[in-house]
Amino acid sequence: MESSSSKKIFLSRLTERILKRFGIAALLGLAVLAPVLVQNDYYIQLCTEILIASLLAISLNFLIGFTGLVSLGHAVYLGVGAYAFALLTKNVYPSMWAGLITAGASCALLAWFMGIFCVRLAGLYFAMLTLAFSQVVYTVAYYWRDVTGGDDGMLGIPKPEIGIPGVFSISLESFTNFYYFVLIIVATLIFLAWKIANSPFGKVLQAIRENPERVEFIGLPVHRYKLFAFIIAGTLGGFAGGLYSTFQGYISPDLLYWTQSGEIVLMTILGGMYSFLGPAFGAGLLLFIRDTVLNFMEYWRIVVGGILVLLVLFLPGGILGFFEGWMSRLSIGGNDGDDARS
Amino acid sequence: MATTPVLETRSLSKQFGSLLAVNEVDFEVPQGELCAVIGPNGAGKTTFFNLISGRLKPTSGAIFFEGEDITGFPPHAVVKKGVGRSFQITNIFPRLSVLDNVRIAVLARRGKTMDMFSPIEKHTEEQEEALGILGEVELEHKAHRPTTELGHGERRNLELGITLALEPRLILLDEPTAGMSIEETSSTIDLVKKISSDKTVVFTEHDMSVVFSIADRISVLHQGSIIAEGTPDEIRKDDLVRLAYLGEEV
Repeated sequence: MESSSSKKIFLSRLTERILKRFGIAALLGLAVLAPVLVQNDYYIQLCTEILIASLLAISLNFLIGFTGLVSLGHAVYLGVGAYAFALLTKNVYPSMWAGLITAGASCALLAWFMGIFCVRLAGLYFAMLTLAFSQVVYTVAYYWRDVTGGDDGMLGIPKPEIGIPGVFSISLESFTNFYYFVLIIVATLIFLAWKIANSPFGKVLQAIRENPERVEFIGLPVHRYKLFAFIIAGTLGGFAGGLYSTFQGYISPDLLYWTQSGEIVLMTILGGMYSFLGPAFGAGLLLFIRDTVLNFMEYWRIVVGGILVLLVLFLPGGILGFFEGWMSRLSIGGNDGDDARS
Repeated sequence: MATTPVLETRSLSKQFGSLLAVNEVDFEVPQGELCAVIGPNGAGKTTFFNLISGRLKPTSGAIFFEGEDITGFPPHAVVKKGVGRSFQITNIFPRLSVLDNVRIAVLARRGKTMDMFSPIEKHTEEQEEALGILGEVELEHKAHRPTTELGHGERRNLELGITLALEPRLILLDEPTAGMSIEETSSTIDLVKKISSDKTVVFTEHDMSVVFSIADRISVLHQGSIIAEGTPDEIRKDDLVRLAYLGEEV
């Protein structure tokens, strides 16, 4: 009796795992084929933007879904990463890699500094402090005209070619080339984030989400782990900012504004914060709605808001969360509690 | 020659506003003993535990663990020294699997929780150890289930499992049988006895029959002060205790 039921559990977990692998392979295949499938520069650009937003949303979900910290200031990394990339490639040295590394590193530093203050708080106070920090940075970007261009923003951010100097080089000026470049960077970083999420460290973050006090009582300094989560989220967000900078070629302080932070939170909730790739789905959905609705009217946020209300009422686990739950119900009792939905 | 007590408090006090919740408590636990701290509701038992485990900072006085001053240490540092505790209100990780609840504690003890890049399943030694502990608390067959499927008694056992995974040399148990049925209580008591065979245990408990049947020593807390200490027999005969607390129960 006991062994047959545990065998059943084992089998259902196996099917779930295979389904998951299949899903990820299909997703990756779709991403690789996307430019061929859409055959349209406009949509290739939309796909590129979705990839960047996916990275951004997944980086935020390190805090929201994993560690249980709702940050309302995540746009600060989008903005600071974008400005760092622009400043370096325009004023210092036009290199794609140097630009991206600067974007990531400056956000890691910023997250470390902000984190020292933020991780001591939880809940609403944490949310308010992250919001306050991001508004401070917004104000700086808005008024420091000499460096950031103020509310005019910065124009003419380059897309430096990549390759080995003197050996070969690949131009990223074509939409398709740039799309593949972004796909490789984003996929690599998301894979890295996924590794971290499934490591012992990632499990500690989930434990902090569930019960921070108990984590302290298994002998772990909760503040330190929260700080690391904060830095990881910020660094990944900074890379997304760098990519966005070169993608658009133009940036303004709007990137840092709190409504931008709200949008990233929306992506996370739409897609499902308890599944790893959920926020990426949310990012895709949000940008797709924005683009479709903007053809008819200006107020695309109304549509997003409506969908969000319906989702929170009927699918509180988000879209991907819902599908995962549905899948594990298909494979009888396959849910091992790792990604249980509320 | 007297050996160093595992735990010692010296005139430990905690004041909340005008309320003196713990008042000048001198308390000693010798190696290997199973000590009960009893007292009516509001006597200061939980506050006393919170002081020892670092959850609260004392107003005055000092706490020594194996001779080392640990006064004012944060909880995680107290745990690292070798003091584990369980809570009166079940304190587990609800949306993790039963196995992960214990595994995370094993990984924490072994200092593997900063590992960011290897999958948690690859730590097979820790997994085996966690399964072994689940066996001890009779939850091995539910290892891969979410904790939401556990009954109340099972959750209490899981919490005990988390604490055991830390391999503490001193265990503080705050009402281990709170809210349990009679059968659950007796199996938990067996478990506590088993644990105390090679560890020092301090526990609080409402059920006097449990306290008097298993404790080596009993300390009676009343309005923040220890009013009596001794073996179960001595406590049973103590007039002051009868007056203050036990009443007709014994």
